[in-house]
Amino acid sequence: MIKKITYVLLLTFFSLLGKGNSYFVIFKNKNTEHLFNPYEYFDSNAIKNKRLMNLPMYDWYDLPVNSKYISKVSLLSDSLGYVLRWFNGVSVYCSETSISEIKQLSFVKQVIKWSDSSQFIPLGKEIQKKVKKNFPVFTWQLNTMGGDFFKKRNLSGENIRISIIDVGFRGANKNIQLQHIFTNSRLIDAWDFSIDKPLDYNKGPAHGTMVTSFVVGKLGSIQVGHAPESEILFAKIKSLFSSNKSIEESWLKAVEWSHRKGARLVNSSVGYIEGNHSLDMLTGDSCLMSIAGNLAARKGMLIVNAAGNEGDHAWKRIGFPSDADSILTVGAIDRKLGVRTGYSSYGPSKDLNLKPNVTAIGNVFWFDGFDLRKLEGTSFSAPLVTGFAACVLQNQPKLTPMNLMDTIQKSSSLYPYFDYSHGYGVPRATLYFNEDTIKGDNPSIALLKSPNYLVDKYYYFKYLSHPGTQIFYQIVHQEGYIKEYKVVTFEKSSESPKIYFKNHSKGQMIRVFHRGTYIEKEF
Amino acid sequence: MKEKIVLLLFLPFALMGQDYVVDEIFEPDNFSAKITEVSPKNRVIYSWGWNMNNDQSDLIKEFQSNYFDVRYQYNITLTKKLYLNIGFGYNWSAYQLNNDSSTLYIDSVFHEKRKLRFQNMSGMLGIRFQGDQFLNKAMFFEANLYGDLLARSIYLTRGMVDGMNYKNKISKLNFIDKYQHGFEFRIGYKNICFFSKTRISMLVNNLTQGVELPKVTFGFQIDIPASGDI
Repeated sequence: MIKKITYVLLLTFFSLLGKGNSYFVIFKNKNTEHLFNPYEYFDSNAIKNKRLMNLPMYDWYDLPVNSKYISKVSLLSDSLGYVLRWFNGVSVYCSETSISEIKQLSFVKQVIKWSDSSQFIPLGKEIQKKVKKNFPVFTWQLNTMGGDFFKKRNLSGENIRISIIDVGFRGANKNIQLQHIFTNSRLIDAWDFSIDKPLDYNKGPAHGTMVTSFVVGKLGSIQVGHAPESEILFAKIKSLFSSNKSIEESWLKAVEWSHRKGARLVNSSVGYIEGNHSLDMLTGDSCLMSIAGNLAARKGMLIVNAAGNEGDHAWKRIGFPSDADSILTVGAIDRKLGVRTGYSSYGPSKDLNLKPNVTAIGNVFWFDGFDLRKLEGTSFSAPLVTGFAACVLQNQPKLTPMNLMDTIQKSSSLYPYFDYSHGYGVPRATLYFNEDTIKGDNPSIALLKSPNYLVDKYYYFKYLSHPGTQIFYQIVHQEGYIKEYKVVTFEKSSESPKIYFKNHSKGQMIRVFHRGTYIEKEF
Repeated sequence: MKEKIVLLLFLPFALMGQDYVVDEIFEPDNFSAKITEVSPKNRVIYSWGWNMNNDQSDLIKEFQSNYFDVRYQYNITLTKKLYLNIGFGYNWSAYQLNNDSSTLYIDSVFHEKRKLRFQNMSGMLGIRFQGDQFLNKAMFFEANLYGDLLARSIYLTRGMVDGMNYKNKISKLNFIDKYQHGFEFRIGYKNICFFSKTRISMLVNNLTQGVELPKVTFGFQIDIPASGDI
């Protein structure tokens, strides 16, 4: 036994050491003459989506990569990885000497070193096994987003194809919550991009299985995700030992594949930090994954990405590719407090774009077929929003990704208020259908100047209704970014609470949100 | 008076009219990679333990035979849950000997208390497995190979002669080997763990003057990040 363990350890150790460097080689151009038939290349569902959204049938990005370039690069490399049409290049595994030679080739535009895969992480984890059985909790989870309003209207993601990109789908084929997608032929395809083979449900982590449950899961008549009738694509992108692809290229290939297969939505509860990227690069155009997110939106597919769980770690901010402005980035709120959880990553992006865009509960319950388990992470907030988006798309199938993103943001609990922890808040079906009983009500709060403002220098809030509830407020810098933001509950309702706005210069602005009432005042 | 006391007691609570659930300040200038340059993989490890007798021998008084070390360790990421460890440090080890005539180190027969003390510079190399990608959030197991270089060795005796207490200290012991090596296993959760060290080399090089000292040390450790997140 000890011999066996030693053998496995040594094998793993040396296989990791022996792994060559991985690069992505981008070519200067594609074939000037090409034979490309979009009707052959794309799935019929993809064609249907393009017609529905009035998008071009194909563009330059869909054209094949020049095969002569690929053959020439392959002669100088140890092995090749995926060919990525969107980025007009090929993934290459070779030594540093060989890559220097490849860089010298006349048709090579750029060489990028793939990120260290160990920094690429699923953004959720199990925190408690065996919680007391209580299935109505699933209904409650969905109702935090007004799930019953979708159910009443029979909106369940029907005919919406969703791709789930994740690190593993162990047991998905046996999980009771997902049985219906297998028996009703709603599973369209499943591929393991880490080894370029059909997906094996007996290998890898179950993270993707959990994530999928929060999009399409159901237990009899109880829904676990908002969109149990949607069609699903599984794309696995990581294998611990057998992977022969860089994880970043697998993710990119999976996105390209999802588009080809006709997905309208992609749920990506993965992301990475560090590696060869720094915080300064969170600009939405430094990392290929972020660029792919923006491209996907242009091509009719919205990527919903988990913000990350770095809120209480040194990195603190969102990861890649959540920084892309056309990716819908989802943060996590606490189930009980209703505000950002400690682990949920902060925005904004380096170029001060609002991130995360929206939030959903991150501390969730999941049924593994035997026991109810407690999970946490933005990994599980993202699929709740993906399911929500699928229902919106079923209701308005012509929405383009950016319109869809806009609709979701506008249907969120804090809109038009936003901050770098909660984005626009939690998407709510009640707001989407304009049936919210809170918004549109009489003003709930007033922001008043002190009677002796010149001396006292303070404003104060006055509850007009619902004292004791949370007030969101922020100071906006002259340059447009949020300088400071707070969520506060005034415990004493008998007095008018005061908020001092010292050290704030002219031109700065205060924004306040309380139960649908939004106030904006300039200092 | 009573009312005043009650007022003073409750005044702090009455003043706390607000409960900030979220309070964030954002400075775009702080948006830099500096904080990520320091890695949480740097660890400083403090150990407290005891040298334990071999199976049937009763050579030392175990709970007076202390072991302490401090070391720096760096965990190199191989995969999310597998790390290669390298480290160096310094350790202090003491063996409080029982008054047993079969354990003659130098002239030990007539002393009431006899202690051997060693200080070593140490280096280690090993492998770490952990249940979570975050170094401080999971169960972990480490198997390390260590090497010690003797820096100081002392033989300390205490006794009483003619009603007077005396203490005698001999250093640079010639019957102790300078180089030692062995295995260390650590198992723990988050920052706290148990360790066990087993020396596989001989510490006493001249067994005619005594017997070999026990080879196993057991204790607990606190593992503190030298930088990065805690």
